[in-house]
Amino acid sequence: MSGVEPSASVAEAVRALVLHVVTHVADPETTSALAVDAEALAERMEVAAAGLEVIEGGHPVAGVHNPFAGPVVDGSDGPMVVADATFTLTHEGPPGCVHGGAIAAGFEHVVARAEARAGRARAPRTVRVRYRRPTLLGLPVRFEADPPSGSDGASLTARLVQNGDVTCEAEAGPPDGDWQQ
Amino acid sequence: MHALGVPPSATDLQSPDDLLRVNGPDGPFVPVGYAGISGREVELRRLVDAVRRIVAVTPRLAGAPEVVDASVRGDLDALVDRLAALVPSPTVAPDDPDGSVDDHPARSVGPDLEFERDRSGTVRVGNPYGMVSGMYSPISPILLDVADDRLVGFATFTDLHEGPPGEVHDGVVSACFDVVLAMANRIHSMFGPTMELTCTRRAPTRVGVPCRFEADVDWFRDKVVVATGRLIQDGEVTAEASGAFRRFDQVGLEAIRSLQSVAQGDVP
Repeated sequence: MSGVEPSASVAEAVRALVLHVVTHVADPETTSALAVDAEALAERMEVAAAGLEVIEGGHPVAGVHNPFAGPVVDGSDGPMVVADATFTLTHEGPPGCVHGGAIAAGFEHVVARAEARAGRARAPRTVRVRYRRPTLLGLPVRFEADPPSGSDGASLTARLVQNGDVTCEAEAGPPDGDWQQ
Repeated sequence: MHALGVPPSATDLQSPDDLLRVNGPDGPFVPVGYAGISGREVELRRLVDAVRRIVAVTPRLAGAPEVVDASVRGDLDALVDRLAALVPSPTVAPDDPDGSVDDHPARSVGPDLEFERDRSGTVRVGNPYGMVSGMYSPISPILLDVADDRLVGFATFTDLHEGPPGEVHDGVVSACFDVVLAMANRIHSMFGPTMELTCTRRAPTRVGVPCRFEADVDWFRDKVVVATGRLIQDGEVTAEASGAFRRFDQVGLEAIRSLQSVAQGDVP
């Protein structure tokens, strides 16, 4: 396990910090020493950040500057919107597998992008995710969302692909709509 | 379908505010059964909370690398390196997508599973490293508890969770529901991975305004349990969810653990 490259962004460094926090092992004394130094660093970073605004990249799913995000990398493939990612233990759910919440968040993200691309206004809607098989950590995944379709033009389908297999599927549409049946 | 029993509870907190203080220096103590946490619950909580503060300011600092370089970058990298040296086995690094996922000592759970003795304590700690409710994850946004045999969750989302201006991203809400619903099952001793999650956005959920999640088990059979939940903000239900989860027995748990050893190869 390496640290972080000098050329990495501050967000990449913090992302590595988070990963190591949830994977390291230490005795209580060592942990206390780390905590003291982390507190001092946090205080200095808070001072340094005073008055600064988030310029870009702060998105909670796709934001490269947001350590909460995987992040996913947005793209397109013909009519589909896609988002690529490789999740780490920071986003682990069942052992060795991507957290179901991270997957749900990825689907919400590509669904919202597909809706926006089609010019649909933001409105109440439902997203249903079906987890077909485990999605593994450490292997690339791709979220894919089709353009909205159906008689109302408000429903769409999406999927999560890993190693050529669909591990999860999703559908979205108006709340309580026929599409749910 | 089966009827639900009343879950046992051994750890009583006085108020939701106590959740913020669990395993803090002056807060209530809840033991954690994970090997990487047991015996240093308080010290690790302190480290995680400090890193949580670092995470919170990162998006703002990311736009000003010259400020970071001039002030804190060296110390940040040094802290990362010190922690990296304490990671005992190969794990998946952000810059190393070819890395493997092996059995991880920090995440192994002893045979004396804490949730069997104190389910309220288990809910409060959550999956301790979990990205949504884990007390020992620096990115988790939500705190969980049990109230009147119901799962409740508390969160005040920040700009880390913002989608449309001023609103919490739907994906953050969905991620929370995944755990809220799973934990509603857990307080009745049922656990397993998500099979299906349905989330409905009814109204915008605002950043900076306290949220309350509530969830209950609806019904269960031998291999499936279904729970429903809602998110309430300022007295308004802004989102609802329903989830179907597999009910795992010990054989099932061992099977999914075996996936760790094949993460490098073909998906089984």
